[in-house]
Amino acid sequence: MTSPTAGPVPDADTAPFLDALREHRIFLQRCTECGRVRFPPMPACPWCGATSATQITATGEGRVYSWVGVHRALTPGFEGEVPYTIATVDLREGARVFGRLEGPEPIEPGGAVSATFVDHDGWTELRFRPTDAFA
Amino acid sequence: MSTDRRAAIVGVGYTPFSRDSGCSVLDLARAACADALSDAGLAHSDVDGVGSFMVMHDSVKCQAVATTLATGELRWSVDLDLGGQAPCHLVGLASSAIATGQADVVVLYRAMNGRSGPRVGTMTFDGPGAAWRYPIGYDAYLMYCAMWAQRFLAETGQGAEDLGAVAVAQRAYAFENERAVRRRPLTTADHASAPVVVSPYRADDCTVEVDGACALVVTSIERARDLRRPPVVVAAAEYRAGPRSGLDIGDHLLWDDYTRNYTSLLRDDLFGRAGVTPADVDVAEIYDCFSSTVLMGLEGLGFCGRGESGAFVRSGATALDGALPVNTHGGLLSEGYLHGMNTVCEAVLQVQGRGGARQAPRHEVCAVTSGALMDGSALVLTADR
Repeated sequence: MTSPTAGPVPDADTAPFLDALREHRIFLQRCTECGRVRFPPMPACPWCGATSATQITATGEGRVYSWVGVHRALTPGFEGEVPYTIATVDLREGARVFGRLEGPEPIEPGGAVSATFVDHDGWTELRFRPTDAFA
Repeated sequence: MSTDRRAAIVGVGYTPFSRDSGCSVLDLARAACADALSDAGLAHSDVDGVGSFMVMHDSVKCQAVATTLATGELRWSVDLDLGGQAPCHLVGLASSAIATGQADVVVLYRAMNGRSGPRVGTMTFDGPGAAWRYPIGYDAYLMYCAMWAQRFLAETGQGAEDLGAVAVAQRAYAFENERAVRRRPLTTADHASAPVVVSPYRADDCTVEVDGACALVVTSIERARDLRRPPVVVAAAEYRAGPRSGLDIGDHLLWDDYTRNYTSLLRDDLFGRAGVTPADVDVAEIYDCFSSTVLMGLEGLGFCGRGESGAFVRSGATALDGALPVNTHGGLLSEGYLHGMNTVCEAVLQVQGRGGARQAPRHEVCAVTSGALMDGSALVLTADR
């Protein structure tokens, strides 16, 4: 699918996540000291400061914490995309991510969603679609 | 007896706010600072400190402004790389410099061609968090505030009509403010009938970018008492960034609760240091790049209970004859977006009793805030009492 942007520019912190997305997997860091799962990828745990982490693969299931319906594009390139919804999604594993939400704009928070992967030229985008509630 | 080194604001200055100033940003900054010094009755040569802030290089540095003001030696200078979180914080920093003798007369400004030049509303904030927003079209500060607003309204049982109440109440003040760029009357129906830009915001929920500058002058209260305007005492200044405030100005992935911003975090220290309670506050100037930040600020500072801010505004409490006049300049929503430096300047005018037709009847204690989300700052300003 064509994208209005060139995609994220990877660095040493973000490359493992972006590489995994290309393989349609969601890599999250889990702190080996306090066990918290974090996003965005970063060099130390924002809760305890420990620098060691393991990678876990997330299920892609989560719930909508909040959302916005974009009715007017605010940057060039997105005019053809409106209206679209951006959601803040709390993943099952504990991390919070942003992603486009397919389907109609929600009317309340809390809806169950699951990940879908959209391949663009040179990068893969993490999106979400509404799903039946999971356990 | 030792001198009273508490800080006081002694003058404010403005350029006109417009869509196209036709001036360089340096000229705008210089003119606003010169106006503020003239207002205070101070000479350019009295200045020994300058402070400002900018977002993504949209302004000019203190060094350049001091040069064109033809000040003498600078003993203190601060250029903050911040947006609307900065104004009250800058006043706090300048007050510390005054209190410790690092500076005697500090001029603070915000200057930009925010309409005809780089527009912050569509700027890309660089930083490590940018990778997770811009490529997917989550690409404007407006959207981040909207994301918080949506959750805030849902969780507190409020709605778009509560946002509209803020826009309508503030427009009534703008009618009495010749500097305001949006002055046409606004009704609740007008607000509700405009198209949604980014839910839950419609056009009148959003500030309007302008070209312009404003400035204020801080000195010691001792010196302030000999100047031409009534001193406005900096009774308390607080800055807060909550834990895990993110990787850049727009990164709120690690912030747990989008219904509470920095105002909840600094409230107790702010009022405690000033020796007042929210009930003692006569006027509030609450940062409002978007209407929802007023509601969140009213609740965060404890001016009303959780979920009650919309009803508070709709009751008329924030109007000139209400219990707590709020955003008497029309706010950033109506006066224009000088990133909240104009909000601090309005607070000074109110405490000095210079508000004209929009002057609050009681104006001894004023609370001011700067910022919308994870981090920000606030002041309690009082008359010299």
